[in-house]
Amino acid sequence: MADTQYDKATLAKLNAIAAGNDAAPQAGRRGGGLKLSGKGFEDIIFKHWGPNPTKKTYERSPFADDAAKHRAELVSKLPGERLVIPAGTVRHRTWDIDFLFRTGTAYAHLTGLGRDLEADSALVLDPVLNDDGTAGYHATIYLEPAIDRSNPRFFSDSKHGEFWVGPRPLPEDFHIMTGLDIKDRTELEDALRAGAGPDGIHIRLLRGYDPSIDALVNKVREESGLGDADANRAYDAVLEQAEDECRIIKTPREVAEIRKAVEATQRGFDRVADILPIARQVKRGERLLEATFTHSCRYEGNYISFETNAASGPRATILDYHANDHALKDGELFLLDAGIELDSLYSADITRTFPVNGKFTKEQREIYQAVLDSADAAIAAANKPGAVYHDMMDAVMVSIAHSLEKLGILPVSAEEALRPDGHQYNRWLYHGTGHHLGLDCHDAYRARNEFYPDAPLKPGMVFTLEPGLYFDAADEMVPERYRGIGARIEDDLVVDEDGVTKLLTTFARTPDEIEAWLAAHGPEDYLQSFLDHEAACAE
Amino acid sequence: MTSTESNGDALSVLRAAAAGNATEPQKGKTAGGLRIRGAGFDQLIFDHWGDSPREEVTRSPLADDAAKHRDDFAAALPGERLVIPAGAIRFRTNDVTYNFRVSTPFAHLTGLGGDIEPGPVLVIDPVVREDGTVGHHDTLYVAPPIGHDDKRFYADAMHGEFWVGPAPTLADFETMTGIETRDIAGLKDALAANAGADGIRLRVFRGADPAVEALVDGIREASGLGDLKANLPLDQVLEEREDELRVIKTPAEIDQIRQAIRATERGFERVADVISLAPKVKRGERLIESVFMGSCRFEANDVSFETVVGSGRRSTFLHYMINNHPVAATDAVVLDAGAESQYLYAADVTRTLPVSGKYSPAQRRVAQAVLDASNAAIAAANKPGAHYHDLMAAAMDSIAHSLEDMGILPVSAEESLKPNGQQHCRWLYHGTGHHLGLDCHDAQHARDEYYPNAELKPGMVFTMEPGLYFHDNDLLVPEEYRGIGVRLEDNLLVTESGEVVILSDGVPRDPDGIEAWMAEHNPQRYIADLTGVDPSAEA
Repeated sequence: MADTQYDKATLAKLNAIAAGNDAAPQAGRRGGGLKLSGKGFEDIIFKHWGPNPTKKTYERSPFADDAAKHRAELVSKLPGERLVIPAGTVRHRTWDIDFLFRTGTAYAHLTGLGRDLEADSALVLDPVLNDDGTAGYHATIYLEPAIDRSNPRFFSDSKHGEFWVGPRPLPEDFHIMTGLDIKDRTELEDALRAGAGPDGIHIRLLRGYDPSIDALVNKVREESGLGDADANRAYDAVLEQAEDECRIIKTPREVAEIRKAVEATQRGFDRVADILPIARQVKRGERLLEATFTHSCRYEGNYISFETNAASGPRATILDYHANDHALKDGELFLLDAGIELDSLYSADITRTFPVNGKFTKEQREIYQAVLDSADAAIAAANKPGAVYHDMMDAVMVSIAHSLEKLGILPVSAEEALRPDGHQYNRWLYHGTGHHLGLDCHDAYRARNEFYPDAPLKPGMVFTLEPGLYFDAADEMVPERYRGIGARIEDDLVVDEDGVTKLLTTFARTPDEIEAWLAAHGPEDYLQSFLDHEAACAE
Repeated sequence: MTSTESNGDALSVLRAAAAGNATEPQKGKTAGGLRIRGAGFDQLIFDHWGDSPREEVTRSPLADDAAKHRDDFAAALPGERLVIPAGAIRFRTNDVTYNFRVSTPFAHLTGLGGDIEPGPVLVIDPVVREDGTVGHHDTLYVAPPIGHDDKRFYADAMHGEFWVGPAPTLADFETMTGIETRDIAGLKDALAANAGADGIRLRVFRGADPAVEALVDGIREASGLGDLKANLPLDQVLEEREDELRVIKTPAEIDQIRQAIRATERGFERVADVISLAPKVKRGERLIESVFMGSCRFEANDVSFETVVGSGRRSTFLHYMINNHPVAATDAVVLDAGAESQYLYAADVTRTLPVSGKYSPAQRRVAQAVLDASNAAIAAANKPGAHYHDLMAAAMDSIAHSLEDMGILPVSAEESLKPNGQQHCRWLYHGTGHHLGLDCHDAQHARDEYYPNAELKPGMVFTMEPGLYFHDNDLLVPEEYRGIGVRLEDNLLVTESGEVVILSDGVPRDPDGIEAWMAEHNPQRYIADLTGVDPSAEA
């Protein structure tokens, strides 16, 4: 059908009719709200309040010391400049329903704060001169303070007022948690302007977290002769790159925290294994297992660190399948790719592929073993002297190519496929086989190549290893008996103090171990596991 | 070390230090990604694919209603082009997204619900019919699926079929909605066609898709229809009109809300099953919350808003959603929660549950006062000629009298209920209800004559949620009541005959009823009731 054609007469008629439409909404709409007024109310609302009987005592964050190290490292990459790191702002699901706030990764990394601390705030690293004449820095957090009973707006401010959100940390509490100077957000603009200019202090901003801070920094920069938003795009991207690079090496404390995240994730998988016999029998088995995993993570930590894949049967060949609403079928595999995000925001990321009825078929075992072999090959490659990060993926592909040859799927020899002009095997494994892991699940993604894929493996690196094989149900190059099978095995690894690359994950990995793990779990264990492991929950 | 008001010397040292800082990020970073190259791969990747199994697509049960809504909407703003985006993807952090949920007006005007990917746009164009009257023609713009003939099917991780599975075709969208569906590549030209001050005016729904908003803003400015500032009120009118269309629900919509309520009630029952375990674990609130959310995610699409689990003194905080505190056996817990149906309709129910299964005398007294207020409001709603705001007035009247009976109100109820009194609002300071539908706080932008000042009409669905909140340091309240917060929230329907009935009475409302209901539940029932499968049969 052709586009709506408007002749002149039609346009004129429509225009005339539209001219009568309202051009402004009604002022002062009330909806379902309550307008609080009345002298009697105003007379009593500010009085007759005792002290807060259970005021929380805040402690220095266990990551505050590490955060100080990270700040120093970041400044050493970009000395002499003002660096602005917003925490972020609340995201909306619908017009007034918000998602629970999750503070920005760089902000968490550089302050030691986690969870939801604190929306609409920003960390500013100002360049200062040290006594020895070198360029140093001073860190300040600018935030919108919570409003407790000492401030008359505690009942009228539904965003910050204690009447509405309960007691939140006050500025002095943030100072205790971080050790940093805490100032009111209203002071931010002047602070940004101080000394700013082409011959003075340049400003770099971590963009995209907080639109109002983005707008403020852009305005200050433009008015200070530092260029507009477009002119600073690459400049700001360097800050993001530099901060990501500071996250490649984890401190011992961070490694310990990720280990906790791995253990919590494994308990989530255990609980999924408990429910599996039930999930087999309900219409939306995938959804029941996805919800079981999320439930476990929300109970022990902050949330899940990424959208769970709970993919049964052929849906396992769709890498970003998230609908998670199909039934499980006896005889098929179930792929679960999931990870917890702790209150500290450190994450884990594990994938296991297991048979719905508890026993791998011959074909499933062959494919699973091929994937496992490639993972073991990668770990071996990582432990060769002088190994660099991308050696792992290279080793996976070599192993996969040979496995596909043995399975009779590769249309050329493995040797041919492994040449630069080959790569036929990528039809069945077409994603990167791992990533750094930390405060972001896909951590440090904007680091330069020499810090990431081309970097020699170093103590403190934490990353996933996740080879897979995916035989699409419609793939005519694959024998029918393999079609519809997708398998991925993902573990989390650390390079330890001695430079050895080893597994952080500690649970079932081989086909036999997987079958034993499934056999050892059942619904009768399910609720009890919440009692048994409650000590592992965050405070 | 404080101010960074640097003097000239310091500035020049800092500038010198900064002079070597990078100004551009590295190009071509690969991080953990796989760059697929190789002539061998290119040669075989596009061939040897059979037909991917496709999900069957049916007309949405809400498609007919949506067509009627479009008629009404176009009639509210005749002669104009109305642009309704489904929404853009929302990021939680870095590259992790939230589960996508289409915007409310898009759902209302297309009948599409959960499981739709971000991006589509509905455009309602004005037309002049043959008889000279003004009508409308609707078009849905979506991105076509990326199949095996397009390199992006493996290379585009956001849209390619390898990654997201087979997406619905344009024909599928026509089947689901009955709306003519076109490639979104044509959206810009379609929006710009005949746009202008003498031609077609455009309005866009804001807050869902910034890119579409920017497109419309650009077209309006370029065609002489004014800048953003000039058009914002017009766009707000669009939102106002669409909200007003949602005040009355069709039978199919009421059915969706009933489904959401049923899923919500089942979630409450799951909470009742496990609540006795809550005092045994560190994060009892989180145990309750994750049980409820897991139930909704399994039974329905998701929760419709962030769950409130306020135990003990936290029951007095309205927007307390961290839900991570311990639960004592003597606590009463405010659980304010709701599921979202498959087609995105919300429920919103609150019950205040005694953890031990029995209310203390003080808790009971407060719960009774709140129940009385709810019943008074429903009685007022059922008087002939009742208006929406009569409900809140009746609830407040009842609350004021209860506070007088309890010896808490410092003046008489009659005094407090005067406009210059309102002392009772110290203990109930929120609106006692809201329309409910595709948005939890539905139709909140409707003009007053459609909302608080409207006469109750068949098809209206709204909440009634009085509460009493005695903060633990409230010196005007006897000690026995301090720290107690109670809310009771039900979802009400105005039936065809004009009667106002409770839809959410699947969970009892009165203290005796709640105690009896809780006594029927226990942890042993949990899995069987959640799934319909008896775990003891799995042994």
